[in-house]
Amino acid sequence: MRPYVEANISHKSHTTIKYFLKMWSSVSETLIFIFLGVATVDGKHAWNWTFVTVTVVLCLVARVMGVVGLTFVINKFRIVKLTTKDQFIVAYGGLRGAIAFSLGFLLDERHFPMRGMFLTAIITVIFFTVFVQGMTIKPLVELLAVKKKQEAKRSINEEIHTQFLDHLLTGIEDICGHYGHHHWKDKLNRFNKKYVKKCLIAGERSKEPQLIAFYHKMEMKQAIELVESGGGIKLPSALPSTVSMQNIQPKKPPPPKPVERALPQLPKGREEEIRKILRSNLQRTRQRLRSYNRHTLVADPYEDGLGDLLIKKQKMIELEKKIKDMNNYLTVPAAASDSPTMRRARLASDPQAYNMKPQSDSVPTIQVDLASPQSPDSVNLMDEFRQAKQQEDDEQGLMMKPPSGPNKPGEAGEPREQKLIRCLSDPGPSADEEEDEPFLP
Amino acid sequence: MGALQSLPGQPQYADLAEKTGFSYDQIGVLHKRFNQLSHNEETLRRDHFNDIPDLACNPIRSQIIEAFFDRRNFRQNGEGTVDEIGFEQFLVVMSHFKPPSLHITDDQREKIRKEKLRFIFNMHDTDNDGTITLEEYRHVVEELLSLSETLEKNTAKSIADAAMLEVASISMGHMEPDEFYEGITFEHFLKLLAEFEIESRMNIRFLKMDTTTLCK
Repeated sequence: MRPYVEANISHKSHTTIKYFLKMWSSVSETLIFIFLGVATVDGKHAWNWTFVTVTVVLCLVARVMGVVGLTFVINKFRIVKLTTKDQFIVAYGGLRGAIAFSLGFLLDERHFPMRGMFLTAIITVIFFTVFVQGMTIKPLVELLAVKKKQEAKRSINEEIHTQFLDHLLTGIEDICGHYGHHHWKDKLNRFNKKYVKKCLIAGERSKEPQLIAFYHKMEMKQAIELVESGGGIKLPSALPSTVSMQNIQPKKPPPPKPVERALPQLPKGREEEIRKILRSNLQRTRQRLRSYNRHTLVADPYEDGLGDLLIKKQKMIELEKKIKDMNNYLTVPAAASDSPTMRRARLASDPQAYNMKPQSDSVPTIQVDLASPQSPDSVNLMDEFRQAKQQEDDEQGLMMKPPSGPNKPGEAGEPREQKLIRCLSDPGPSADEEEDEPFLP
Repeated sequence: MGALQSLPGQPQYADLAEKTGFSYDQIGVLHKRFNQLSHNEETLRRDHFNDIPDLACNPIRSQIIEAFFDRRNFRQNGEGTVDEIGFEQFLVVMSHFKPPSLHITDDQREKIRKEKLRFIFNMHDTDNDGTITLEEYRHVVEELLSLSETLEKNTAKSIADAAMLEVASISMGHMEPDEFYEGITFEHFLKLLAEFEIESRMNIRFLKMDTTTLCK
């Protein structure tokens, strides 16, 4: 019933109930063990060597017999059989505790005159199993190198593949015509989804497929983690890497005609022509700048005393970028990962965008305008690229690659676009020798 | 197995048994099923699969059916698809789902794992280029979620994106912002599902089939 209850209540109620019940069970267990301790010290004991030793021995033997017998039976139906090692650990882990004691304690003295002896035996068995077996099982497990249960840190890939495998195996069973496990499991799942969930779970959540529910859970976990870390610069994610959404964004759709994308080395005159086209295009697109936000409007970086402001702004932007990167999980209601704001934030956060090359001083004014508030222009071009499905001719012109080696056909869109930004920031024809300038990484 | 009276030609089974690792009984059962599915013809075609009623409510049925006609699963290093398959190829594809025997060495276990993961990889990689791109992965997630009526396009997309991001992080570690992650190659796929224990999960119990209750 647990999945049905969980799906019907809010997250807060769920937590409350969970911890309340945990507390209650903890308290009860403590109480009974206190009682046990008091009874040991203070109760009237009737020690009988034979009875006690035979009880202890028989308990152990019975446990082993039970485990071995049952495993023998179920191993016939299992593909992955339980080995002797597994069986030994299962048998060894048979600890006795509170229930045996309570049952013994409830015996009525009048009907069972040997009650004291029973209690003594029970207490001895409990002490033996708990202290001897309980304390030695951990080293034993390590000694025997028993396979431990995996930390249930399921990644979304594993979840996807678990479901995929289930469906696959059900399908294959159907093809074989074999009513096996998966067939019945699938039937039960479908019945569950169709009838039971609709009755027992209120509202929209009855239709939520398991994958999405899992995904929501992961989102929540990540969001909570992020908030707890104070939105700090260091992301507390389990995947410490610099891979972000932009690395996996799909390439631009290939052009309709299979044209060789590599433009050969251009002669100087042609380059000048292309640069003129570039500039004119940029002037046009600048007028198409739709909305501003404070990240894209950068003040003239040559103003004095702006360094601090820039650093602060940069930090803020990085933080927002990281939060928006987290949006790759928080995008189920709306796909925010492709929003122009995020793209601008991502590009604007590039620290080197604010580093001015000294040579740009000598460059004509129009180039300085290009170089400094470079983000809005370059980003708008990015917007153009993403939204424009057809390649216009002048955009083909923008595909000029700095003459630094053959362009592999079908090279990814991202490096092309980044190199494009480098082209845009070219201060002039002298860029030929300087394309390794790390204006942008 | 009282239903199997006369197995047609035991010697030819010997050949198949050696190639695929099935026992004679299992091959007999599967042959019966093959004949049932193909209406006693020599070869099986896609529309024969469409006749199976239970398969219709499976969300990934088209991929499963395609897997039977995919040359890459025939263990002959072929590529591309075929339109009809004979019993031998049917058996070869089914042998991917054989449970590993109990006492095998680690090397053999590794080999079996790779085979099974290769099968799944081929199912994802529909255009045979050796990588699973973001589009293909999105398609997979969409298919999985296709049974639910409340599917929004964006949900599947974002789940697939998140999954892809995770793969990229695991396999590539650190990437520059302008590098591009082409797609999941088979090595990355192996690494991704290293803890999945597929050799014990991707199995069907072939011998327990009761041919008298075969559907349709």
